[in-house]
Order: sequence, then structure tokens, then C-alpha cells
Amino acid sequence: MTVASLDTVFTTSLLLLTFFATMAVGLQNGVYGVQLVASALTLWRRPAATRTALDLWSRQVDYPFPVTILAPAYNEELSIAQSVRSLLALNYPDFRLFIINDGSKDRTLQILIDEFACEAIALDADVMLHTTRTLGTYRSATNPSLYVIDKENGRKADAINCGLSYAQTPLVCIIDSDSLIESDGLLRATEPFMTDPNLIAVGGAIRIVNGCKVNGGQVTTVGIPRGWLPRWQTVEYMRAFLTARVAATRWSTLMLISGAFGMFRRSVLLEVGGYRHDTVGEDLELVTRLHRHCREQRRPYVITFVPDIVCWTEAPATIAGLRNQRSRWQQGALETMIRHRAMIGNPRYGRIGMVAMPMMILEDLVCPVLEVLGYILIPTLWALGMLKPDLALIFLALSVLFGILLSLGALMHEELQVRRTPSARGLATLALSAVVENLGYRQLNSAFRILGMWKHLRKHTAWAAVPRVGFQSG
Amino acid sequence: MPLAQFLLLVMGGAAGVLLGAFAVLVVRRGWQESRSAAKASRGAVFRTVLLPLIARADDDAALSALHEWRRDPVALEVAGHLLQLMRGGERDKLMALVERLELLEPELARIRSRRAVRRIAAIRNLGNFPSILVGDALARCFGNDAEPAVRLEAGLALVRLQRLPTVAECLAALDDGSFATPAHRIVLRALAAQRPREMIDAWRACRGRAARLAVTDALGDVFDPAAFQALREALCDPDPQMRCEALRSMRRIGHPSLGAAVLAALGDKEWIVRVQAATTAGAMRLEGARKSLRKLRNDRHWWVRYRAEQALGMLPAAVTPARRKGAAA
Repeated sequence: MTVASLDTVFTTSLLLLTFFATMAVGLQNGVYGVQLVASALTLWRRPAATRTALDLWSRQVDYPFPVTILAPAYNEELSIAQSVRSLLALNYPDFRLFIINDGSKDRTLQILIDEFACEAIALDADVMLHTTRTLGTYRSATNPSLYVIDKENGRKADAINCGLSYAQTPLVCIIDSDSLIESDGLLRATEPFMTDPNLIAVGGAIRIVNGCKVNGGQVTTVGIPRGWLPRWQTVEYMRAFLTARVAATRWSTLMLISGAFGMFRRSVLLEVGGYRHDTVGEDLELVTRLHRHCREQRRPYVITFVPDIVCWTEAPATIAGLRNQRSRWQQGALETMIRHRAMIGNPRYGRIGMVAMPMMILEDLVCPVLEVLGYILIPTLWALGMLKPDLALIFLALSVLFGILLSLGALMHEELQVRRTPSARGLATLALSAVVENLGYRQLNSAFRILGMWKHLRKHTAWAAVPRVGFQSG
Repeated sequence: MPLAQFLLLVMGGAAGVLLGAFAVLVVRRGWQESRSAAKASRGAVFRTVLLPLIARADDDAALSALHEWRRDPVALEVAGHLLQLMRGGERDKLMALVERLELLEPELARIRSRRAVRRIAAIRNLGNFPSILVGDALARCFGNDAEPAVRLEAGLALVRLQRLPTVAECLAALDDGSFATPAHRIVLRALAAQRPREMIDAWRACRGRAARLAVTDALGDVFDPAAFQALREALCDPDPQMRCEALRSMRRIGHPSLGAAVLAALGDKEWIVRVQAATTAGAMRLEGARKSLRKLRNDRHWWVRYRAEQALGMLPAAVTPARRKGAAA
């Protein structure tokens, strides 16, 4: 083969790659566009959310579903008392709170015992989903709905499984101890169970707490984050929750209930064996397994998302924190896809196998790689005169202009349906962020996804911390 | 026009349109913000004017003092909130004032909206107002609405207002072919407490399986020997789901006269029925079930063994010769 023909092959390959990158970005954005329209229809057709906690309470107080909240805690001596108080103050007529001390090395357990006058009691477990030993079970003498389970360290999944083993209520609410649930969260999360006997899980919207004022474990003043990075994440979360998840719920293809807040039917969690211990994306893996289990059993089931359930969480404020978080999410997605690869394209799993899983591959595997390749190749080839400016313009239109369109659409959902953004000024700031995030932030995220893939290939499973600044008290 | 330019034009145009629409939303929000303080203070003013006049609800002077608030949505919001906090005579008087001011008219009109979601929203709001007017409107909706979801919502509101119609009417209104949701059960249980005799008769007259299961569940809230007899009969039904339902209802009633039926169910041929029977025997503290429960500890189904073990733990401690001797000492 001559040098000239080698050169031709190389150039053709690059141009082909560029073409595929453009197609992939086009396809992905096309899917997002359809999601935007579907979510708009869904949100428009749903009954307006009950406005006040008092109205919700009045509707449910006589016939509440008993709920157990499972909150794992590890080395949280500084915040545990405040977290427990805010959870005990949740508006719900009938709930138990299980704090699972996951082998903390600090004074977490002692603080719980001292602050809430906990006394040792015997608790029955239906099953043993956890792999580590339970060291003791306690109940508060002053707050009878508070239980503490002390166990050996086994990470978050094991701690939740331990709580699942001991919980006796039909519904369990799984939360992150560093997230803040709005006080009417439980009332809103149990409401759909009232009218749907096939419902097995409900997820809520996660919102960014950076910039908000927090008092007594509750967000007292909603604000817009000061830094650009948390602002972009605010817009990104709105896009994810108010378009993608709403549309996925409409099509019965919801694949993720965030680990920060989820309400589940306990019996189904027991059937699937609870959370897996050996994955970094345990929330995605659990929901995928629930789909798989129910489809294999050919039983009717519903997994839904309610945008009015709001759980506040702190977003990483540094590039390093964001990198660690996103690459970990990517690792979790890859692990789940590989573990459940038998579902992909398999008609036995209905629209999960035929639509949702292939979409995951497109979104989490193919598109990030091709998109980043496109960002590198297209300007380079254009600068070298190897590419017509037309293709570069098409790529720009699809990746940047369409991205702006989608973000603005999500912001319109936010304003017309959910309305948590505090002011007109805040809305305008978010609109500006929605434009700017397409000029660097989205591309950076794609790069972090590739990093996650690399870590997965290297079997790099060490937990990289996401630095937190802490809540701003008001 | 080349594809690239066309795409750029379309995307740019769409982004521009959306940006324009969003700008309108921002301006609208700004305008609403400027009015929100006025709305809040208007609500506070109404509350201040209203509270001293509640005691004089029948007085025409009180009504004329509040005339400017007629059909005002802010006033309705304030009154709805106060109604949920008040009890007794004061609440009735406030309700009378709300009716005389015709505050409910816009919501009563919304209950006839063509969109089901609007009707549901109106029903949820009206459920806070315990008036005859509202009860009648909700009962009409419960009986006649074309959408099962709307009828169910109206039924739940009527439970809160204690204005449910007859059992036969309720069963007809709730019939969506399944009676499967917890909301259906809430309505029927509330009805059973209000109209126990009718519920027992309905159980005998019921032909559909789903409705019969739901009524059997509701009988668990009827403390009447006739209901006990109906549950005993349900335990002889060939459908294991029906037998389970009967056992769950017996557990809620907990009357000792049902003990013999529960003991017999411990030997049922279906394991799901044995699970329910074991749980019920434990919950009712049936001393006579000890022997059967011990036998069930060796059942081939895990859940039966587990529930039998749990039930044995709930029974009063057995009196062994050693214990008798200890007690005598």
C-alpha cells in the first residue's frame, strides 16, 4: 500500500468518524427533543399538585400507609442529631425512622443513644438481606418512632439492606442522610400508592441546595447558587428530572430512582434481595433489577416519578468534585449495563429491553465517546481544510443550539409546573446559565464520562470523595 | 438552501422563539411577584375582618361587611385554611359564611370542567368544605362522572365529609372492574362503619368477584354478629383470595367468636390462606391454635413456617407443669 493510499484511508476514516459523531449527537438530541414534548404533555395533563402540607395531611390523616424511613449513617457525629430531628419532624401520620449505624468509628451511636434516650430492645427481622453482623437494636424512649440499628461496617447498600430486614411496614423510604427532604415529602410520595395497586416504587426530584438557606434541617429560603458550576448543575438537574424522568414515567421506562430519595414497596425489595453490595451505582442497578424481576414474573407493575417530591442535595462546587461524581455515575451505569446485558434488545423485557436499555447504551456509552471525538476532530479537520464548513455548522447547530433549546424547555416546565425557583431574577439567571452551560460544561461532562469508562476498564473501584462545602444556615 | 444553513436557521429560530417565550414567563413572574405582597396582605386583611364576624354568621350586617369579598379566590383560600384548623360550632358558622359569600361558586363551576384533571383539582379543594352544597355536588360527581378516577376522588372527598350515599350506589360508582386500589377500600371501609347492615346485605347480593372481595374487606370494620357469620361463610368460598380476605377482616375485628373459624383455616390446603390464618391466630391470641401452629412450623412453605413461629411468639406463655409449680410456690 502506498503512502498516498494510506493517507486516503486515514482521511476517509476521520471523515467517517466525524459523520458518525454528528449523527450520534443528532440522534441523542432528537431523543431529548421527543422527551421534552412528551414531558410537556404529561405535566399539562396531570392534576395540579396539592398546594399545602395541611391539605395533603387532611386528605391522608385517616388512612395513612405505614412507612419506615431507612437512613444509613457512617461517621456522622457532627450532624446526626440534627438530621434525626429534622427527619422526626417530617409531616406524616404514621412512620418509623430507622437510623442504621454502619459501624461508625466516631461517636455517632453514643450521640444517638444520649440525645434520644435510646434503650436496647429486641427487633425481629423477616429476612437477613445484610451480610454483616447486627451489634444491637435500640428504641428511643422519648420518640417512640425512632429506632437505631447498630451494625458492623458494610457500606451503604448493606446498611439499607439491614434496615429492610428489620422494617415491618409495607412501604419503605430510602434516603441519603446528607440530603434534605421537604417536610411534606412523605405525604406526596405515599399519595400515588393510594390509587395504584401495581405501584412498586416512587422517585422524587433532586434539587441543588447550594445557594439556599437551611435551618433545622429544612430549606427555609430557596436561592440560586452563586458559582457557575452549581448553577449549571441546577439547570442540568431540571433537564434530567423535569423532562427525561417525566417522559420515561409516561412511557413506563423509568430506569433510575435516585438514591437520595425513593419510596418502595418493601415486599418487592425483599423478593429481589435488596441492594447489591458490589456496585458503585446501586440505585440504578436496583431499579433495573426490579424491572427485570417483574418482567420475568410477567406481573403488572409501575415505577413512577413525582416532580413535586423534592429532596435537596449539595452539588460539587469544584471541577475535581464534579469529575469524581460523574465518573462514578458512569462506572455505575456501565456495571449495570454489563450485569443486565441479557435484557438489552430482548423482547422478553418489553420496552425496557427494547427501548430503555438501548437508550442507555446510546446515552451512556456511544454518545459521550462520539461527541468528544466530534469536538476534537471537527475543528481540527476544518482548520486543516479537510472538512467543509457545512458539517462543522451542522455539528454546532445540533450540539449547542439544540442543547440551549432543551435547557430552556426544561426551565419552562419548572416555571409553569413546579415553581421552586425563587424569583424572576433567579429565572433569568438560570436562563443565562442554560445558554452558557452548552459552551463548555456539557462537553466537560462528556469527558468525565469517558474518564468513568476508563476507570471501569481499569477496574478502579476506590471511592473518590466529592468535597462538600456544607449547608448555608439562615 | 444547503442543509447546514437550513439546520442553523431552524435551530436558531426555535431557540429564539423559546427564549422569547421564556422572557414572557420571566416578566409574568416579575409581575406576579409585585402582586404577591398585595395578595398576602389582602389575605391577612380578610382574616382580620373575618375572625370577629364568624360568631355572627347569621347576621346580615356581618354579611354586608364582607360583601366585597364575594366569590374572591383569596378569601376562599383563607377560609379553607381556617376550616381545617377549626372544630365544632365555630367551624359550622364559618362554613355558613363561606356559603353566603358564594366563595365556593368558582370551584363548583370547575367541578363541571371538560378536563378531568381540573375536576379532580376542584374536588380536592372542595373536600375541605363540609357543606351540604358541596356534599351534593360531590355526590352528583361521584354518581355520574364518566371518568373512574374522578369518581374515586369524589368518593374520597365524600368520606372526609361523611356524606357517602348508599352501599349499592357506592358500589356502582366505584365499579372500575377491579376495586383494587387502597382508595376503593378506604371508601368502602368508611361506608361499612356508617351503614353496617347495608354492607352485610351487599355482601350477600354481590356477584362480581372483585366487588365481593372489596366488600369482604369492608366487613372487617363491622362489629355485628351478622357480619361475623358472613365472614365465616366467606372462609368456605372456593376462591383462596376470598378466604384470605375473610381472615384479614377477622383479624381486624378480633372477636373471640371467630376463633373456631380461624383455627379451621390453619389446615387450609392453600399455603397463602395458611399464612393469613397463622397471622390472624397470633394477632387474636388464640390459645387453642398452639398445637396447629406448632405443626405449621414444619410446613413446606417458608412464609407459613415464619408466620407460625411469629404467631407462637404472640400467644400467651403456655402453662407447663414446671411453671404451675413455680407459680404455686
